Amino acid sequence: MTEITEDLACDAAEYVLGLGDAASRRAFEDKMKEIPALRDEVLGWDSDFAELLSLYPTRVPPRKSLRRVEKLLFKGLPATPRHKTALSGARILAGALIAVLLLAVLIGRFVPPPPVAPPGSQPAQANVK
Amino acid sequence: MKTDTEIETAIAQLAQGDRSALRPLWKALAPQVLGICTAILQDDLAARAALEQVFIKIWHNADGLAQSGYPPRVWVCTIARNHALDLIRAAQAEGVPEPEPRKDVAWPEGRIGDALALLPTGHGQLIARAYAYGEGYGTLAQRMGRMPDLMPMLLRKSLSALREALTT
Repeated sequence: MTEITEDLACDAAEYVLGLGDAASRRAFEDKMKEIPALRDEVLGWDSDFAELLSLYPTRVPPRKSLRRVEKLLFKGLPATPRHKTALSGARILAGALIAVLLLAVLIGRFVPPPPVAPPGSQPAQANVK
Repeated sequence: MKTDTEIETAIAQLAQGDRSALRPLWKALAPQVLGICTAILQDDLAARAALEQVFIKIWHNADGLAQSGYPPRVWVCTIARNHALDLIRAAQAEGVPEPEPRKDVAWPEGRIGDALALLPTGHGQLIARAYAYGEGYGTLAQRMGRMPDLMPMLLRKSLSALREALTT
């Protein structure tokens, strides 16, 4: 852990314990952005206090809570992981590109060639003097 | 799903957008998260709403676990505690009074428990209560019969002593 002042270490402990009011919590979070070592100090306190997590009695939530979370997170989204969704997007793009190329080839094959001028004839421009 | 490795794997799956990992993670951790939110918020409905918000946060921030340095279960519980603390402090900022003090905390034996026991009389209990119930300086001052303004000065000395005890 990077060394920080005792005062800042106490700020971190106060934050982890939640002793301060809403404004002081926001102020500390802003300070953490400026002083990265504070994040390590918070991690240290959180890890030390984690032994006290056993003080919290567990409570089984109602089933509808999970359903509500799933609805909030996944409603209207395809049933595929984000990375797979990204891949399928890439596939759609590649497919569209191939279709365009194929169309271009087909058009090139079926468009009749320009008429060939009869031998001896001159381009119209040549007659202009 | 019980071990840290299993929880870590599930959170990594969430980070990849694999929604199938949500249910097992919920089954493993939702009771603990709800316990934390209830202890701090002291309101069943608010605690259930907070539980749902915590899992939404977990889904959106799942890719942050790997670099956070936290063990996965502690990471989840920390998100839950911070969320509940933010809710209760925001409510208090709008005039909701701090809750009545609750029963004493019987902290477990171990490194932190031993260090808390070394603090001046009553201070270990104050710190444990702040952690377990989310009691702020106002409630702790009421408990100690002190002016709220004096509490930070009193408790910060003990926090320094606690840090000293934990780092030696």
